[in-house]
Amino acid sequence: MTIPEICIWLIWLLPLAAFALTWIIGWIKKDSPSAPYVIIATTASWLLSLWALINVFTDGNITTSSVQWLNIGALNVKFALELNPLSTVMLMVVNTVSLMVQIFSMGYMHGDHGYRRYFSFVALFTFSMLGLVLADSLLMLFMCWELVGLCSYLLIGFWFFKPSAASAAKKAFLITRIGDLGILAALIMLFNATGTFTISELHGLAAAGAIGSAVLTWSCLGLFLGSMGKSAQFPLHIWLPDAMEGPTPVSALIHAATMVAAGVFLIARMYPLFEAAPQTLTVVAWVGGITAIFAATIALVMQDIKKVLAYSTISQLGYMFVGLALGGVSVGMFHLFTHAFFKALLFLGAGSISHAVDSFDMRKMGGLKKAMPKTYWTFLIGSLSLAGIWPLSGFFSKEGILGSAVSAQPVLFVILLVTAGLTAFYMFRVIFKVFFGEYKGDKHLHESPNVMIIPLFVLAFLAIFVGWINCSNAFTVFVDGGESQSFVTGLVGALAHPLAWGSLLAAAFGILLAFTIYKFKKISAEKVSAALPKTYNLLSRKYYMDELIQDRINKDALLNGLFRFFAFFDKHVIDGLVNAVAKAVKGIGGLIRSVQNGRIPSYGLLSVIGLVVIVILMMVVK
Amino acid sequence: MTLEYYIILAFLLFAIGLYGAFSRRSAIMIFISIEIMLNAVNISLVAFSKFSAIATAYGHIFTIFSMVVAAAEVTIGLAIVLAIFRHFEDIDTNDINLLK
Amino acid sequence: MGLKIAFYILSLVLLGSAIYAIQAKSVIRSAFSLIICFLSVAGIFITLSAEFLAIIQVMVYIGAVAVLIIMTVMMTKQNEAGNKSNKLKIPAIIGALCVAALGCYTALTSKFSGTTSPIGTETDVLGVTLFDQSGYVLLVIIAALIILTAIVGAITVAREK
Repeated sequence: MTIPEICIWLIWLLPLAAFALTWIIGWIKKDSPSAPYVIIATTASWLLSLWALINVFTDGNITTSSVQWLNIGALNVKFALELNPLSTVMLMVVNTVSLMVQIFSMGYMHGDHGYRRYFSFVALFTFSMLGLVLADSLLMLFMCWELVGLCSYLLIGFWFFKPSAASAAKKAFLITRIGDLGILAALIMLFNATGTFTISELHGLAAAGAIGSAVLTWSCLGLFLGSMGKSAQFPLHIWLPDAMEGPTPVSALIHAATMVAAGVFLIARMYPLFEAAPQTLTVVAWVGGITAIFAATIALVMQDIKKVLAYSTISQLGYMFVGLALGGVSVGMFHLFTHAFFKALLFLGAGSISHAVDSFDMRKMGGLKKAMPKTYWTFLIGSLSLAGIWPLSGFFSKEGILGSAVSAQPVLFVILLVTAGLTAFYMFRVIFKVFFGEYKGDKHLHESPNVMIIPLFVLAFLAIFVGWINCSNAFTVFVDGGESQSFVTGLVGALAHPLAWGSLLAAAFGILLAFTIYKFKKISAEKVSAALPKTYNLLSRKYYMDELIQDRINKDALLNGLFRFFAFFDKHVIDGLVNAVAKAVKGIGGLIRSVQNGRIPSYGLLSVIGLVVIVILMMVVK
Repeated sequence: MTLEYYIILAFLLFAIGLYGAFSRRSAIMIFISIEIMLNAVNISLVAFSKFSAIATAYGHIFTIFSMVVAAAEVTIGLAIVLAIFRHFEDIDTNDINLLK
Repeated sequence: MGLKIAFYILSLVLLGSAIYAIQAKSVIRSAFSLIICFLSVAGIFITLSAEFLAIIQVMVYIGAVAVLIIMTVMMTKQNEAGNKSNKLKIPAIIGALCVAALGCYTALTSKFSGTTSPIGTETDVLGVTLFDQSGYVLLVIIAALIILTAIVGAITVAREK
């Protein structure tokens, strides 16, 4: 193994070592600090990722020598780590956000009795996510995929003593499981057709048309089903809002920036397969578009700041899928890239707010601007970026998606444009409700400690400037190839495009509407909702999706239908069989038990019978 | 007179003893049956010795030791019967099932 | 010829007394029937020209075993109530018949070597074999010890505490 290879393995394994170390040290000494190990490991991993990024940028892809993992007959599974533009970008995203979240958590989780458990789980998550990103084999990717799901489960249910957190964790685990079944099916189909799990080989085979179109279509749909589960796309999105029961930094890391983006990453990673089956990309685009507007409308009426952000995340993930499907890998991935930073920033901002007011309910907030200026400004930057205001990063990535949609799917373009307006509206609704007006709570307001503010600053900086990377088309060239352009053309020239004005106008309209309703109070939000009670109810009950799944599917279809049949089958057929076996055994046992009566004569007689049988057998056999 | 007569006689005697040993309830009756079985075995041993090709006394020696062991067995066995009788006031094997 | 007649008579007496011994209602009758049984076994030994063993048979079985049994019968109370045999009467008959049938079958089908010219064993041969230098002296001593142990053990077990 060469030194670069060791470095690549270290990127992956350092967080795992930190995970193990926190527990070992915790066992040795109860009150020793645990956060430093995790942060040091993540920092080292971050530095190595930076080195990897530079290496890949200059020299192209690197694949480590593979490690034999499984060898059963014809099935020979090897694992290796692969560095390519896609994975290095993801490495930077995961490590950066992870590092910021860990630093933030030192302040946020301070004094929580599960402090060590928390940091170890975050380290485990980082490890799993990096493995997902680095995997060169679909099987390894799937294993890490399940691992991140596990970490998500563990961290959503971090405060498992709260029933809502425990059930939210369960819900997240079960709903994503539906999608994972799709991936598993796709894996089996692909392996059956090609005999390999290695992604680059699959790419080659798909591009050469060596995989049958039916297999390809179904396995792509299976992969997309997994993405829908993990990335919370309609109708499998219902777990993500509930996942907000976890600690806020976890929501920032897992449920905004990295894990939920894994679905997008999966599609991007397997993009040649989807390209070979273009109709699946249409499905991806439409599911993404519908989810985008669907979630954005719900976000309009949510009263819980984290729920707003959660629906916003779902909506933005929908954007990414549209970008992937219509514009290619670089368009979708670029939005993932920028979104990771500003959404993590917004979540951490929400965490900072709740640190002060001890609640997420916006009805109990207001007027926080004076007490928490740093949080306010960083939150504002995040919101502007999310709303897609020039020259913040969200503008550029959203622009790319809208630009690719306008010619390919005009209907989707309109949907996305409306969504952009809605996004701007609900984000500024949050800002006005939280930071302006009068404080309605009774807590002593204070700015968060520096350990929490610094990550906010770093992420705010990134939220402003990461978009500029692609001004010269550097990101697109790196990921997809193509022509680069001059930096200024990209930065300023984007404004010359009519499309940019469209999206900016939509965003500005949303912001202005928020101003009129929540700042100037020209239009009363209550009156609007009272005038449209049905719509309001529909939105605030999240289109009755939970009820639909809970009552119609769970209760009617499953509990009363299928499960009742299963219960009947179980009771009468399976139990009947078991009981019959038990009765037979009992009967034979009863027969034989009478032999064991403790009386010598019967024992002696039995031995005589045995002797006779043996002698007869000997005579017969001879 | 050939060996077969003695062997058949020994087997018949053995079968009688066997039947007695397993069908009677009294411990003493079981002892009597066992003694009958031992005698059947002794008859066969002596008969084999008599009708063997070479003139040896091994069968007789076997019989002597078998008698010794039988005597010892009867001594101990009847002592146990007495002990059981003292304990249970009965020597009915139907009622003695401590092995159960 | 005389030998044959003697064998048949002795066999009949032997089997008859044995059947009576195991069938008799009263234990004391069985015990006395057992003495006849032992005596006829001694007779059978004589037909096999094993006079020494016949004498030993009388001494050990009648003099010791039968007497011991009769003594025990006298020392224990026989519970005469109910059936004298246990529930295993029919299985025991079947088992015994099986054993007898198998034995007779093997006896009649096996080919014994040297059955045509019976060779007698004189008592002096027995004595020499038993007490020869390469013989069974040690085993005779051990047998004596076994009997001693049995006596001590019997006393220990049967002793009233």
